[in-house]
Amino acid sequence: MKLLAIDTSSAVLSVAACNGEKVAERLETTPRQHAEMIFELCDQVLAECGLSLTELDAITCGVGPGSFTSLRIGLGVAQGLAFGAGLPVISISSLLAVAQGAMPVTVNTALVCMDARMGEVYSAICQRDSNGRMQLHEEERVCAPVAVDFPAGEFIALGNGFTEYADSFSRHPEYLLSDCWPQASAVLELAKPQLAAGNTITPDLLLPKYVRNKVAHKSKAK
Amino acid sequence: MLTLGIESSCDETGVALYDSQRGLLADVLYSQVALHSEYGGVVPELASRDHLRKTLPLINECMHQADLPLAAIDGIAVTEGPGLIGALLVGSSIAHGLAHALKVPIIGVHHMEGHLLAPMLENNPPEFPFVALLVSGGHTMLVEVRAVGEYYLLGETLDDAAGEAFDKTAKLLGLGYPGGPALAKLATSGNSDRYKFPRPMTNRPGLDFSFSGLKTHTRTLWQKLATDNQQENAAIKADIAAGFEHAVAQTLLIKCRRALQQTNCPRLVIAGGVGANQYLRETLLAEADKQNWEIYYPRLAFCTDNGAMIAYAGNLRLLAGQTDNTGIRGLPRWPLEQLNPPGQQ
Repeated sequence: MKLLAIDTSSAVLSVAACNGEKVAERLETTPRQHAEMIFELCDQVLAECGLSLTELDAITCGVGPGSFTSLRIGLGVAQGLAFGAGLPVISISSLLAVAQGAMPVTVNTALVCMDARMGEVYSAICQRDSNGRMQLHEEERVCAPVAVDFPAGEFIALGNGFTEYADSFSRHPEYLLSDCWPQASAVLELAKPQLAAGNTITPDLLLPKYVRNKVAHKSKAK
Repeated sequence: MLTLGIESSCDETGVALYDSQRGLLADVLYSQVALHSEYGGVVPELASRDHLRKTLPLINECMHQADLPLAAIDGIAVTEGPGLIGALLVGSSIAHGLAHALKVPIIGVHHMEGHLLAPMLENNPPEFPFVALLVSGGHTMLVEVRAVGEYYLLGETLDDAAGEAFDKTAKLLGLGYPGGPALAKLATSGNSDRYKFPRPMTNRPGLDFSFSGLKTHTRTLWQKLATDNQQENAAIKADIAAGFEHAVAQTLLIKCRRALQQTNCPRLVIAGGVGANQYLRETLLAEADKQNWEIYYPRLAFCTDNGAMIAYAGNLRLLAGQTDNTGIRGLPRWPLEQLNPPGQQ
C-alpha cells in the first residue's frame, strides 16, 4: 500500500508515508510551524519512500479532536493535495492514533485524554482488536477531567490531559504515559485496513471531528 | 493564463476562474448569511468550519461551469488578508495543497485590492487613476487608485463600517440580521426630514469616517420615541430608517466630493455591498451629473465578496511573474499601502 498520512491535531506536526513495508516519518515540534513546514515534510517522506503524490493509493489524516485551527490547516492541505492529485482520503481519529502509536503490546485497553483547554479533555477508551490494531470503544467526548469514565480492568492512561489536570480526575491511573501524541505512522497503520476494505471518501468529505460543538451562543434578540 | 481564485476572508466562500485571454469563465459563491443570522453576527469559528466544507465543492462546480479539467489551471490566487484569521487559513491551506499537487504557482491576494480592481471585470472599466469608495459591512474607505498596485488610503472609518452601522441600526429597530437591506426598504416609506440626524465628521477637514455615533444617536432617538402603539411605532421606525439612510448617504457624498477635489481626479468607483443601496446610488449619480464626474458601479455580484475579483487580481500578479513563497498564511491586518505594482514583490 502506498499512503501519505498527516496529523496536525496536536502541538506536534506529524507526517508519514509508506510504500509497502517501507515507512518514513517526520515530526515538527516547534509551535505554530505547522503551516510553514507541512509541504516540506510531505515531500521528504514521499521522496524517502520513492513515491510521487500521484502514485499514492490514498491520503489519510488524523481528523482530531484537537486544536481547531491547526486541524483545519492539516485537513485543508490534505483536501487540496488529494483533490489535485485525484486521490481518495481516509479519516482516522487522532485519539485512536495516540493509542495505536503509544500502546505496549502487553496491554489491550487504553484511556486517552488529551488537553482540550478550557478545563476539559478530549477522551476516548480504545481497545485492541484480534489483528492487534486499536479500535475506538465508543465515540470520543469532551468533558471535565472529573467526568471521564475509567475503563474496567487493566488499562494504560495516555495523553497530556493527565498531566495538565493531574489532580482533577476522579482517581489516579495506575499506568500513565503522558508524553504521547497522534503520530502519522500510527494514522498510516490504522488506515491500511480501511483502504483494504474500500472505506475511503472523497476529499471534500475530509472534515474535522470537532467533538466540541458549542462554540457560540445564539442571540436572544433575533 | 488560467487562474483559479479562492476567497474565504469572512462569511462568503467564493471561487472563480479567470483567463487572461478569455476573461471570467466561471464564478460561484456560497454565502453563510443564514448560518450566522441566528447569532446576530458572524461567528468566526463557524465561518471557518463552513469554508472547509464548501471550498472543494465550489472548485468542482467552477471547473464544470467552465468545462475544464483541473490540469488546465496555470496558477492559483487566494485571499491572504485582511480578514478573519481562521477563515483565511482554510482558503490558504486548500489553495496551497492544490497548487502543490498541480505544481502551479500560487499568489496571496489582498482582499481590498480585489475590491478595488473588481470594476475591471466589467465591459466598460474605468481608466486609471480613479478614486474608489469601498463601503461594506466590514469596510468604509476612500482610496486613490493610480494604477494596479498603487493605492493611497485617503480616509477610512475610525469605528463602525457603514454597512455595520446599517446592520446594527436595523437590529435595534427589530429588523433582524443582517438587516441593512430591510432598513433600506423601510426607509423608502419614511420621511427623512422628520428627525434630525448628525453628519459625522463632515464639519472638519479630512476624509475619515465615523458611524458609531450615528448608530448611538439612532438608538437614543428610538428609545425616546417608541410608544405602545404598534402602528405609530411602524411610522416612527420608517422615518428613523429614512433619516438614518439619508445621513449615511450624505456623509459619504460629502467625503467623496472632498476626495475627488483633493486628488483632482474626476472618476469615482463605488464598491462593496453598501454600494448596492439604491438611495446612495441616486445621491451619488445626481452629484456626478452636477459635477461632471465619471461614476462606476460594478454589478452587485462583484461589489460584495466574490472569487472573481481575487482570480482577476491574482492573475495580473501571476502574469507579471510574481509568486508566493510565504507558505500558508492569513493576515488579519495588512495595510493596502504595503502593496506594490505587479511583479515587484
